[in-house]
This record gives sequence, structure tokens and C-alpha cells, in this order.
Amino acid sequence: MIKSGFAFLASRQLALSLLFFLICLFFGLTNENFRNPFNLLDRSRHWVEIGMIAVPMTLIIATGGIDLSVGSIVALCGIVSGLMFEKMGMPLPLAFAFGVLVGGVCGAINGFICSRLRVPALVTTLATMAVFRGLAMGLSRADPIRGFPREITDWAGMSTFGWGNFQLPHQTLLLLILVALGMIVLSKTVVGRWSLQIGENLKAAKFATVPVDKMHLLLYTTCGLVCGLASIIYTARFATAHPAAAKGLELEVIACVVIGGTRITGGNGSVLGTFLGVLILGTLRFGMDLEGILQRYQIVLIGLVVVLAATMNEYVARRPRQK
Amino acid sequence: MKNYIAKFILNILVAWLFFLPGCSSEKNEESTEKTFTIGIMPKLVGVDFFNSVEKGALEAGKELGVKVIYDGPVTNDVTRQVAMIETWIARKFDAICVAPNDPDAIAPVLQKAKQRGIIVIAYDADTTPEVRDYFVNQATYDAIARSLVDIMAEGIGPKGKYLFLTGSLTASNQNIWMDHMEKYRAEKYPEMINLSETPKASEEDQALALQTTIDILKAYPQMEGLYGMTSVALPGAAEAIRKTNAQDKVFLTGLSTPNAMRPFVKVGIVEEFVLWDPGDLGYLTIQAACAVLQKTVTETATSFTAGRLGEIQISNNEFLLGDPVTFNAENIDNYNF
Repeated sequence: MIKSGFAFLASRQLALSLLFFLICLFFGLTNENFRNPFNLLDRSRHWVEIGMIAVPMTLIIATGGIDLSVGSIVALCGIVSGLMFEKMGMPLPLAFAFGVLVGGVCGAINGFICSRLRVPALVTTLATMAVFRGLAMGLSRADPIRGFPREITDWAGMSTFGWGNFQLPHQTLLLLILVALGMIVLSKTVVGRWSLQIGENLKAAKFATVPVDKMHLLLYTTCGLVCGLASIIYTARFATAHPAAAKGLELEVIACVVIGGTRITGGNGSVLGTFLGVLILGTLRFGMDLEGILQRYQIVLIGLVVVLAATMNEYVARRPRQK
Repeated sequence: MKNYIAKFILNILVAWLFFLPGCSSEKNEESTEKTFTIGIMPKLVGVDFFNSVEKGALEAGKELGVKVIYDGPVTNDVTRQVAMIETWIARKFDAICVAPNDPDAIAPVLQKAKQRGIIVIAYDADTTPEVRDYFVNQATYDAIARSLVDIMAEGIGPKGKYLFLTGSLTASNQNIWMDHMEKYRAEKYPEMINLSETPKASEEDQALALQTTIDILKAYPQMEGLYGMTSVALPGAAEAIRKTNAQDKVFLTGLSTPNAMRPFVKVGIVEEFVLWDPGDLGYLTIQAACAVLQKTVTETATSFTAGRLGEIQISNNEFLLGDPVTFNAENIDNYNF
């Protein structure tokens, strides 16, 4: 039994929306700074990289795979762009484009090892996580690249469009576009359908002549490309390409996907759910920051939210069979 | 049908969210007697060093009658620091004091804070000078470098071979110290040998420092001296030396807190090490922030009185805490941090 993105809407996503709504209500009532939409939209810049990568990650996890190397790819892309710009004198847009390309290559390597060499995704990407991070460290000699013009920070850091208190940062718009694209791909296209079939039952999918290997290659490469895009924003936000950038990003991305209702073992998936997961974790963090809840307690709460979400997933997944 | 109901409810929720901000009445609270709110952020919470910064900062806050908020990320992560400072800006703090994990990555957000009229002070590690108002310098780089190199030269002799164990490879403080140490060493002890151009990294993680040191001991059997360059790297290295019984072969010194080093100093694994008093550092940072807010320190000031610390020098927009302390078996029990 395969569920597409919209079939879930009645139960799962509604519950998530409600949770998001309750979080907003709680912090909105207790904190006037939270009520100011300017602050909330401004803060959304911090979720963009996570949210972007969470979109292809949802599809990968839907196939029963996983990509742990995303944080390392972000760092490597940033470093390569930085080197191209600073050492090779490439114009900045071209250097960034090159970085995205490197991301694609990294993703393709992941996909190749998974599909052709038949190494489980967890092992593959655990290994490439170290390799890509090491490359980023090695190429930069562990020294952040700092020669970027300040204007790129203005673009990703300050500039927005909108009116009054509703200022939408550039990169948040990009995230919204990517989420919309992801929703269409997962629920309306053959790529989405195949992803779910692979996750539901690999053998059955093969018998049904789903091109499993090509799908893996495609998904991991896409994930790498999106990491490259995210790295542009990451680099722009700090005006620095850091070899230690985005450390632990993979875990936050996966947490958002799991909260969003995608089972870690594959077979279902919802990009909208993932996006709600990003919103929930993001607003929760923001609200707790504003309330002045100390960081050490915040991580406990966030861990609990993930456990709760995973428990809910199992419950929702099991329920139809009992009927 | 169910789908339509769900969509309908969702739409109402979203609409309500956008409506919500409009309902809030903007209150203009301008009380006549304003208490300053000063945020002070460590590189990470939960290590001895920054725990004493917190103590000193809260002490100064109590003395001065200002609200001091101490919080920071649970790992040495600059992106978390940036996110938290964004919130502090939104919460309209009067001054933000921060020990940046990366001098450049933190710069944009500090600039934003400065543009909003918030006093920005870097302490412990500096950022780009344009984006902060002041830097609280715990001890000049030269003074620290000289103390450490002299201790090492005495320990392993003027022809000894040594290595650096640092925190993260991008930590600006450690890198500048090591630069100064290498320069001073080249002048005064030209025959001492650094076995590895790049220092070994331990990422502010004591378990990793222990493992890395054990690896170093295997990889560099000719090593005679080791510097632990952070408050976490040094005890980790000392533990490794205790475990491998290498105290007769390797002379260990560096920067750390007396509490972390007390057991190792008592049994002679480490004879001497260096640090400033982080309690004083936190105390001075809040004193300085408050003085700037109250405008008792202006652009041209060259010194000010910082409570129990007395007269503090100011030059080039830097507050100078003074000389570092060298700890050994005799004086270590006088300190508790």
C-alpha cells in the first residue's frame, strides 16, 4: 500500500500543523518579540539550508536510504567556491556555480557507491561524510576562506522584499520554491512514485522494472546539487567559507524529515510534512531562545520532540493494518 | 470530503497566524529608571573556564545593578552563536558580549547588532575590529607566548623537540598564540624543534584530546615536550600521559584551569601551566560593558576603575586585563575555577 503526499493530509499533516500552530500560539501569547512577524521572518534565514536539503533527503529516506554526508558536502562546496574565487580569480557567480557542480559530483559518488557497488547507504555516506569533510579541511589547509565581498552577506543576510513588517528574506523564498517543487515531484511524478515503491518493497519494485540503480544515482546527485545550492547561502550568510561549516547539519535535516512523518525505513514520505518539521523545530528553537531558555535544556526538549514524532509515525503506520 | 475539511482548517490556521501579529498592541514602555540588560555568551557552556567567566560576570552584574544573562551553545558552534545573537538583538539587549568561535563568521551578525545601537564587546577571542566596539583582552598574546615558551625551554632544554595540541584548527586565539610562541622561540631558543608545522586538533573535546595525545605519543617517539593549548586539550593530554606512564619522557605544559589540572599537578605530571583568571575576565567584561553604556568610558579614555580589579588600561579600543598567572604545586590551591 503506497501513500502519496496528499493522502496523508487528513491525519498526519493536520496534526503537525496543529502542533506548529500551538507552538506559535504559546510563544505568541507569552512573548511580544515572537509576535513581531519581522523577527520570525528574519529568523527563518537560519532554517533555509536545513529546509532545502531536507527536501531531497525526504525522497532519499522514502526509498529507505539515507545521506549522512550532506553537512560535509556543504562545507566542501563552500571551500571549492572560495578557492575558485580567491585563488583562481573566477568571478563570484561562476565560482558558486562550480561549487554546485562539485556538490553534484559528490552526490553522484554517493549514488554510484550505493547502487553499483551495493554498499548500504548508511555505510557509504558515513564514509563519504569523513572523506568530503577531510577534503574540505585539506584543500583549505583548515583555514577558513574570508575574501568574499561583504555585499553577499547583505544579499543573504539583510536584503528582503515585502512590505512593512513582512519582509521575506531572499533565501526563504528560494526554500519555498524548492519545497513546492519537491511536493510536486514526490506526489505527482513517476520519480516520486518509484521512490516510494523502492522504499516499500525493493524486490517488488525490481520485478516491476523500476530502474532502482538509476533512481539512486538520480536522488543522491540531486541531493548533492541541493547541498551545493545550500552552501552558497551558507557561505553568503557568514561571508566566510568554513571547512568546519555545517557540522551536524545532517542530523538536524534527518530530524526534520522524521518529525515530518517520513519513516526512517522508507515506504512513505511527505515533503509538506518535512517542511512542517522544519517550521516546528525552527519556531521551537526561536521561541525558546526568546524566552531565554538555556541551551542545555533546549537540546533535551528538541530530542523529546523527535522521539514523540517518531513514535507517532510508528503509530500512524501501524494503524491501518489493524482495521 | 475529509480532505476538504482538513484543507479548510489548515487555511484558517494559516490566516490566523498572519492575523495574529496585527492583534498585538505595541506598548511603548519607557520607564524612567532603565536597568541595562547585558548578554554574555561563551564559546560553549559546560566547561570550567566559561563557568568561572559566568561567576565573575554575575558578580559584576550584582555589584552594578544590571541584568546579566549568560548563555551559549552546547558545542563550539558559531552558527548557533549567530542564531542566539539574532535573538538577543530581537530581545533588545543593551550590550552583547561574546567569545566568538570564529572571528569572521560572527562578524555580520555583530555588525547588525551594532547598527541597531547595541554595544558589542568581544572577549576571550577577538572578531574583526570594525564590527565590535571593544575587545576585552585577557592577556597580551606576547605575555602568554613568552611565559609558555620559557616554561617549555626550562622543561626540555634549549634543544628540545616539541608539538602543539590545540582546540579546533580555526580557533583564532590559539593560532595567534602559537604564531607568537614560534616567533619568540625562534629568537630566544633557535635550536628547539617543532615536530609538526600544523598543530594537532582536539576540537574542545577532552576525550578526543586524550586519544589524539596517545596517537601523538606513538607517532612521535622523539617528542620531548607537548603544549596543550586549550583548557580542555591540556587535561586530556595529561590524562593520556598518566595512562601511558610517559611523564618521564614528555614534559607537558599549556593553558588550562587549576581545577582541571589539580590532580596532575599534585602527582607531578604537569609542573607548571599558565592562564589568566577567567573569573576576572568575566567580571571585567561586564564592568566594561556597563561603563560604556553609562558613558563613563568614552572613545578617548585610556583607563577606568573596574570595581575590585582597580585601574584597567584601555588602548586601541581594548581593555587589558593584565599579566597571566603561572600555576604550580605551591599556588594552585589558592584558585578555584
